[in-house]
Amino acid sequence: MDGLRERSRLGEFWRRFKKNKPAVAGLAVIILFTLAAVSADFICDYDLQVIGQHPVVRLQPPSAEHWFGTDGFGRDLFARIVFGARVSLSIGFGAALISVFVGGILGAASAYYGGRADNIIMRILDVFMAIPGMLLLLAIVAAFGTGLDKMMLAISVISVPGFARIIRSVILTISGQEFIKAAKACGSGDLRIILRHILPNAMGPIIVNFSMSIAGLILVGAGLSFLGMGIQPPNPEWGAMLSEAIPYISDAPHLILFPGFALLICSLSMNLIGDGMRDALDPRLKN
Amino acid sequence: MYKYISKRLLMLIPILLGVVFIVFFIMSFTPGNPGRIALGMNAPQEAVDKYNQEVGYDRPFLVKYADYVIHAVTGDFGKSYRSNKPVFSELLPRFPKTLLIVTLTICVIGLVGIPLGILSAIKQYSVADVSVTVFAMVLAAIPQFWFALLLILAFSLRLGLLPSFGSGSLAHYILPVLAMGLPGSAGVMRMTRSTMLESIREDYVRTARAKGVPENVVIWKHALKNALLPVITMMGMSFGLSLGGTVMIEQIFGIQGIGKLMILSIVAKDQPMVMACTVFLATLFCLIMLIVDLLYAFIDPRVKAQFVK
Amino acid sequence: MKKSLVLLAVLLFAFTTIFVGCAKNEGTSDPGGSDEVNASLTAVAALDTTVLDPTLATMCDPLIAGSLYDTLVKFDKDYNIVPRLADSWVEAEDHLSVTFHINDEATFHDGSKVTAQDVAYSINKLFATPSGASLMLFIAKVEAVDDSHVRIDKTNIDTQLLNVLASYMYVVPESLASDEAAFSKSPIGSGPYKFVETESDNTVKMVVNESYYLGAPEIRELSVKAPIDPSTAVIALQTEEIDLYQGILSSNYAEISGIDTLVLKKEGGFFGRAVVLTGEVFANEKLREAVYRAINAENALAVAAENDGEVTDTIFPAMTVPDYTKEIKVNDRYNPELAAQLLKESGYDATVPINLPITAQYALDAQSIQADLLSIGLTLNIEQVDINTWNAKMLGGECPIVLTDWGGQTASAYDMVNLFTTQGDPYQLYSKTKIPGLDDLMLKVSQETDPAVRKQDLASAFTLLVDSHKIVPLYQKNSNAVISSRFDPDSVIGIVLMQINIGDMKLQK
Repeated sequence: MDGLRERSRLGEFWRRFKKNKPAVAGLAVIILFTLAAVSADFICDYDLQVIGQHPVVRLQPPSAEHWFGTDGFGRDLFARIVFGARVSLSIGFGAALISVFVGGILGAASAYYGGRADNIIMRILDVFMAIPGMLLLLAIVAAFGTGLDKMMLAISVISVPGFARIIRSVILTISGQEFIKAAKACGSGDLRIILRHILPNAMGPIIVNFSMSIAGLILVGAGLSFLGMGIQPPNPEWGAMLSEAIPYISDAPHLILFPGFALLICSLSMNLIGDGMRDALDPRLKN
Repeated sequence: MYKYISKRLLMLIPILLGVVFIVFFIMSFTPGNPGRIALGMNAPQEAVDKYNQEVGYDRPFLVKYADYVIHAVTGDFGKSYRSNKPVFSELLPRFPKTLLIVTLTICVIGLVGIPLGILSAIKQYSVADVSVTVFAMVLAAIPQFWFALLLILAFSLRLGLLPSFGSGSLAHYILPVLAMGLPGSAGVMRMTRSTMLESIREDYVRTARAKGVPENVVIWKHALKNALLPVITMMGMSFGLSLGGTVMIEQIFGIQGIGKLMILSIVAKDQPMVMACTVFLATLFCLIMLIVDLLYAFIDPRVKAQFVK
Repeated sequence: MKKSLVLLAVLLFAFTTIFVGCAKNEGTSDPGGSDEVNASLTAVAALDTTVLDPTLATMCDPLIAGSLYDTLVKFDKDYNIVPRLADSWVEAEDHLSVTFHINDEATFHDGSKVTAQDVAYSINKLFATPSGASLMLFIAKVEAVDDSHVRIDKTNIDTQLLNVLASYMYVVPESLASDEAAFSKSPIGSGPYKFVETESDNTVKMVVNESYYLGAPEIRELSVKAPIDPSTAVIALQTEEIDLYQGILSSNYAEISGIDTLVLKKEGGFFGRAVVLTGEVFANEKLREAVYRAINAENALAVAAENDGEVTDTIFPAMTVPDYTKEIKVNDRYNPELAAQLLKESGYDATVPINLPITAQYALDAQSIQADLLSIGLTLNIEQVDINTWNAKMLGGECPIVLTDWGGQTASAYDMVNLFTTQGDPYQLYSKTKIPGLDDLMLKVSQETDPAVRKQDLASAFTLLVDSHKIVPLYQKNSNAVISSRFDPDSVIGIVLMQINIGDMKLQK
């Protein structure tokens, strides 16, 4: 009986999601970017186009040969944006995954054990949340170094407290609901309750929050690289590309437009997906 | 009431102790030592060691932490490694600039977000509603720093209307505040819309209508007041968060505020200054959250009832 | 919700068109008020200046210090020394001291005369600061002989005393500067500009000193803004918010050159970039010479500095050691075939990589060198770290190859060579592998009093250094400044030293 309910619930979810055109559009865009990121090596030649410098063709506007134009070193902007997708999407998804995982454990433990453990965990998270996010992030990067993996970890440190709180409150809400009390009354064991009832119901809101946070994390990652504390040159990253483009803002505005646009579209798409998921999850939440 | 306030204020102490511990801990992993930084590469090792000994750098971590806390409690937060002046003498003069940016930003967020959110809610499903919602979605997804660059491109370079950097006059703040405020207003727009919609449906509003009060009055007096509460909380939180979040805007616009100081100090491994920024901003954040909570309590009669005997 | 999707698309499209449509316009916007001669200048400091007394710390930007105060002497456009506060000077017979006569007309902004005591006070005060203390390397003693004569003792014969004085030693009034608090509110100097105020964003405003003893400057008002990034500066120069900026990136040259209202000035000179082969691995002389001959300086200049400068063939910048330009020359260095052969003969196991720790500014040079060495079969491991880590590695002997910028106007021949002796390099930064005979020779030089003999010995020392193949000269990178076309670019001097004297600048006729 449970299995059947699962499947139809997922089907219901997808059916409602599909009706939300903007959300579907967002999903399509993200899939497109992900495919581009994954198959980047097949689309563009890394050494030649992405990091190879060709001063002769520097700062050219979009043309048939260079779809998005070239940057100050003569590198093809389109190729750099495609490869940059790898970095931005990895950071966004990676950091979000780590945060959900760690935050989930903390939040669940807090909700489940309650009492003292809950108090302690929440207080520690309060401390983290009191530290200005940017400061914490910059300090971690300054202490432990730059680079994709370290950035992902540093950014997840910032977002774990938020996730932990949300997941804790989601679990508490579910635990307080009638059917849980009924299950307890029926004599179901704790583990069974967690696995059978709490988790499946919690997954929805958790996934929604997960997807909605990705957009923000992508932007945080880009911001770090923009400040020079993230992905180091010559590796392409949208935020770093924006920073490099500032001196040419007058001559070659396309260098500012395309990377920024890429960020905007990815972020917007993730937000649309998140919104769509939230609406599909519980239609009552919509207005 | 006072018990609540004093309890919250007392909570500040363990929170600050924790904050200092964490940042201290992280900064202790940064390579380099104060002696080498202050005296430079060519200074003899003995001079460097002496300097390090004088500032107490070579002691174990917990001793340094305890020492810092003890000194901090008496008001001595040390001297910046970069400028050799007491940290707060450098930090405090920079604060007004950041405060001005953040305050003006919150104003923009309120002035833009709330009316548009209300409009959206009142004319639900209309073209206006859809436009505002879409507008909010785009604004929410725009990277702040990109938006800042676009504003500079349009208004400083192309139109020559506004200055592109510095903080000499109020005009210098227009672009930075827009760059922070417009994307920030997205959240408020959406929240205002949703709380207004909720509030319009509330029973007491229906009751007011039933009593025969004119439509406009219904909206403005009853629905609005209750709709704005969560929005104000959100804006208060934004205010607190933004105080530490001006780093990128100050970097782009060359404004000598706290954000710039933060990143300068972290990059230069100026530990006392980093700690000072941390303590300062964390304290402000906690105080602002306390004020927001109190404000909420005072305005919302239902919450107020819980506190007043 | 079809409506929202369509609207979304429209909004994004509109967004794009508006900003893509911002194509570069042909003309530049009118700065406004360009009819009458605008004799004011807005410059940008290189240092974050919070202290307006240059003798308190070296955190007072030269643009400000050089306007409010005077040094004893200054540089002209060919970097010869010319009078400033001192109108004449005499070197002692033993070449170990110089006595300066202070211009009788020199006065501070409050009208009081500049005395030798003020000079002595200022220099000694600077020595008392942690960063100023390093200047005691050059000056042994300062003494006011009488009210208008000051005697300065050098630490050794080769010390470039005049250059040091021109670069760092500003004079403040003894009577006023001792009250630090009051002086910081209203600093008084003898310079071509008087202090007006410091604005809220740390901009220092100054106004012309009409009674300047060397003649009032042409620029009447001066504002020096707090430091900004080169990328912010490029924008600010175009919007005419600033008139003078030092140090834009060479990648912006093309863009700046295309703008009528701006003039770009480039200058090379005192500083050069070089590679020093100092690690223990280079005790193997054939290996050392192999690397020495494999490095392609032209490539490095093209890749790392975008050809903004000149390849050098002298082990030290020629302007730093002008008396030894012949001896510091390196002829026919680059020879990759010979390098490959030497590598084989050296017996060095080429599968063992050599480490090259660097800081960010040498990244491109390092990559160029890495490619050069790879072509003869040697592997280089580049490790990019921050400056503190690099210093630690240097001191720990983990840098067998060092990429460095050196030279400068205050370095002397003796100092440069001494870096490679055991006695002159206590931390063994450059002297890990010894050059036979150099230690003894330099010891002799340090005790030699006859200038002719000294010169000869130093010449021999330079020859030893050149033959040792320890130093691989790369190039001299240009320093640059961008100036508004309202000013005469020929009157802007001191670019390579980052020490432009605004008081000497002229308006464009």
